[in-house]
Amino acid sequence: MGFLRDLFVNVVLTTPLVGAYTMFALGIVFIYRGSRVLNLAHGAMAMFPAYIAYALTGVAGPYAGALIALAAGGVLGLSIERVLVRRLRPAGPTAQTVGTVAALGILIALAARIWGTTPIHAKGVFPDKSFAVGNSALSLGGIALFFIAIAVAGGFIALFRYTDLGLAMRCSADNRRAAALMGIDPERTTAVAWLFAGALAALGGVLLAASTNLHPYTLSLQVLPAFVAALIGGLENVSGALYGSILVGFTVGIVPSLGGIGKQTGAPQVALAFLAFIVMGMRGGRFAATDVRSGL
Amino acid sequence: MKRLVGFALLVGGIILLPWLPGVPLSVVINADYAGELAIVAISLVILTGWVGQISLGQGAFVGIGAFTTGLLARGLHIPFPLNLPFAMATTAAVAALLGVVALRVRGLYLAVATLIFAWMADAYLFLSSWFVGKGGASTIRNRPIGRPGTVTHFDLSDKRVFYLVVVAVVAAVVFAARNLRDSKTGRAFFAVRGSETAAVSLGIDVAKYKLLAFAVSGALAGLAGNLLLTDLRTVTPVTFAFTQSLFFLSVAVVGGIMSLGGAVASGVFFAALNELFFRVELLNGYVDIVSVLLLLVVLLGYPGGLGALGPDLVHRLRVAKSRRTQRRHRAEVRRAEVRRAEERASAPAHIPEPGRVSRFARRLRLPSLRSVVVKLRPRRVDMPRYTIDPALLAGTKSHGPASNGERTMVVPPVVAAPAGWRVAAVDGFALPPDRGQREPVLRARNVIVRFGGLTAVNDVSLEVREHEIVGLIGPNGAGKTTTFNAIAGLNEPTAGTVDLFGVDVTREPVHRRAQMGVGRTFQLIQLFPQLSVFENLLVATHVHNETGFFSHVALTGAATRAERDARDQVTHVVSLLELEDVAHRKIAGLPFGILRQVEVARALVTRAPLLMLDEPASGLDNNETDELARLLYFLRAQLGISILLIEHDVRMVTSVCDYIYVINRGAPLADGTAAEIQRHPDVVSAYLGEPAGEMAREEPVHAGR
Repeated sequence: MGFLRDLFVNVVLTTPLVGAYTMFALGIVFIYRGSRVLNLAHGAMAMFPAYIAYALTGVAGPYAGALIALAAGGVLGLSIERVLVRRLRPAGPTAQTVGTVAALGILIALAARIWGTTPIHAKGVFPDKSFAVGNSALSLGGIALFFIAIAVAGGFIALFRYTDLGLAMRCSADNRRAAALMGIDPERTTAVAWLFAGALAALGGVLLAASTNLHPYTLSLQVLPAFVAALIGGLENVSGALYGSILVGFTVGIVPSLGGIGKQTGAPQVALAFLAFIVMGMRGGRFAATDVRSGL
Repeated sequence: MKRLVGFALLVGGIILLPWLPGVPLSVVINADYAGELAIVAISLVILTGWVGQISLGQGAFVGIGAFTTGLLARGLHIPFPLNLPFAMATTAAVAALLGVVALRVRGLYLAVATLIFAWMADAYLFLSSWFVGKGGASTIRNRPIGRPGTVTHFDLSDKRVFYLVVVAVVAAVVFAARNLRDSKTGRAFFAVRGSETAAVSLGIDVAKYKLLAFAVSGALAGLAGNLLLTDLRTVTPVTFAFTQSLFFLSVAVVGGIMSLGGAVASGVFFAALNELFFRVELLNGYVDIVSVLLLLVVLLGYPGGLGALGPDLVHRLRVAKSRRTQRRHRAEVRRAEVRRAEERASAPAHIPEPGRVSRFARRLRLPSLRSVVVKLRPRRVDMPRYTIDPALLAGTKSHGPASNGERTMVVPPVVAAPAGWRVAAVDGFALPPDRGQREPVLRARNVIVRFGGLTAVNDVSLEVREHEIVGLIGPNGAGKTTTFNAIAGLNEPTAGTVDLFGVDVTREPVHRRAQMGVGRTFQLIQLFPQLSVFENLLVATHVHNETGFFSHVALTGAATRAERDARDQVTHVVSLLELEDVAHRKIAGLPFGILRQVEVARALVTRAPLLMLDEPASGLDNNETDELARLLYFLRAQLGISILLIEHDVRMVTSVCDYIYVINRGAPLADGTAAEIQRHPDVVSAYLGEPAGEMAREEPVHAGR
């Protein structure tokens, strides 16, 4: 029974990660649908607003700080789209991807320049209270992160399904020209996608920074599992991103508790890589379907 | 002469750079680094630029190369030049393994997969003690090569000496990559990137070439890793942190993702940045920001990359220089055109010389026994291959009228062109009047295709026999293209069999069917937009080129000969279809009618005795459709090619087809000759929707039938 109890404890302890990954994966999916771009700057789009929230907490208090950081995240997303991704569209997806790499580099360098590279413990929006789970503790902020993420994901799924804006975004993701012919401005829906993605990344970053640490590089890399989650979900699928995040979050949490090989450094990454490759092997046909169709 | 001297000076300068007066050691060190970066960039140019597989994991490949080198040098005491092939082979194998993923997923999905791979290598592989040694770093000692004190003594630890090694390796890599680009392999790469559907239809094994690209790219990255470790002697996992992969991709993109020269230039550019930061103290602490900003400047200001910089400058100079010559040239062309038009008006139509009639199919092997074997071990068996006589395509041999030479097509007066297809073609392959006496080339029996619950094709059987033009018609959504794709292998039939040249190919992949001798065109044109017309046609010589990868890399005599043959073949087809004027123009930007012709030409270059054309006349005007009909008739009558044709244009189908199948809602409706079909009441009501009387009154384009 000890093993099962450990497993349960680990699952519970992983919930904040699931929440963060969900928010990041949703943003990655929005951006992929909006621009057909893999946004490698997503980690930096979470990290930079987290620093902004940290810097403003002293001046404006934690709530105002977080809200401003959220807005800043949205603006950041918009400007990356305007300055880099849109202008690089004629040069092709590889150039666009490298454009987001450049954004990643610049944001990390700026953060390191302004706030330094020593890890900082950021004070969270929620009171510093925690609950004992097994031998560890789960902070209130962590629990909040999970539930906020689930609520946000549900909200976005509803938005896509039931609102005009959602419909417009879905159809311009499918076919920009056809959407334009129906009177939808695809540039606008793309901008909205980046705005949402930026704000979500900021929210995830601010909440995650409270339960881990603030560091320009490390915090940016926290987003990597979310790429796996988005890929597992199908990269275009909003609800898929949610399921993918749950799978990825629990894998990251559970693998070390399996002991033995699982305890080694990098074991979660290896597990995630295998997970991703298995899912790709299974769904491959569906991933590849578009090209075949257009050829016939 | 001036050029030669300049070139010699440049090469000499590059080689002697470390020994030139006033060149500090730091420059030499960064020059070594430039070479290593250039090789990584070239590995990405091949994989991402040529084959279109975005790799965010190149840093991991370089790391694997470096650590393999370290393992060999430390553990087995295998020193530098000897451990190089091992490092390349190991990395190539790992890369090919990752390439298996690329067989399942495409585009940015693959990019994420490579990202995950790099991240895993970074977080696990490069930290595990069995791979990188106890200290977590790979440290090696380089043994000098040769005896000390002699001329052949190479102390690899001397950065100046190592510079020579780097220069030699970079030169060799650029040479090999250039050869590859201009070979059958390179064209197959471009084809995979341009359109996988078209590539398989030309007999290119897409899976093989994707894996090959990963292996080649991995080998080059491993080579770079090997050089890097030999150069630095110590590398830590941090050297290959996964962000390094992103940096490498940036280097390749700044160079211009397709360009070899650009890759080298970009390597030099980033190494020069290093040197700059080392020299200018003011920049200290701003290294990251400044280099990213420079990256952005190049990316946004020059999306073509550094590789386009040189050709662009040369082009601009040339344009400025030759403006006057151009004007003179244009006037000349105009005069020549007028002269030609006058000559054409006075010359009589030219009819090809009569010659001997011969059967077209040169069977290489007996199919009957093989078809059994094919079923048992489908992947191992060499399929028989059928081709039409290249001499026919070249026009050095032609077929005259058959005994019943009256069966010619009545076509509008011909604008004369010497011996081309625009001439009223004379039938060299007359068909026996009884269809049963014609030998079947293609036989689809009881083909059923279901997509989920939808039955798209229900029990369709059709045959194409030797030298026939067979039409497959039906209203929109009747299942014509689905039937077509089941025959070509693009989708597998739920039930039924497909025989090609008497061999059951139901379970064979598309490229194997194409290799047997099936050429095809697509409803939505599938040409390679980045290539010129001539290059598009060259891709189609793939099936007939027997030379292999290594002979392409080393540019052997066999490879050169095969290349010349390929060009000859394409030249023949270009002149046959009178595409000379557009031969060296890029596909992107050519008019639609020309593109249709190029697609037919590309299918012709494969020398396939069976062509499958999917609505070749869609989007063409009446004149162009007439021309196309004449061309098809020429192919049948003069080259003996059998044709299966999907078409909407009833006038065209009834004018050229020897036999017609009609399907409706996925099921067969009728089949017969054009006259029979036109009279068939079901066809008239279901498809044509006109009273029979009006159809009968329509003038048939055929005569003598």
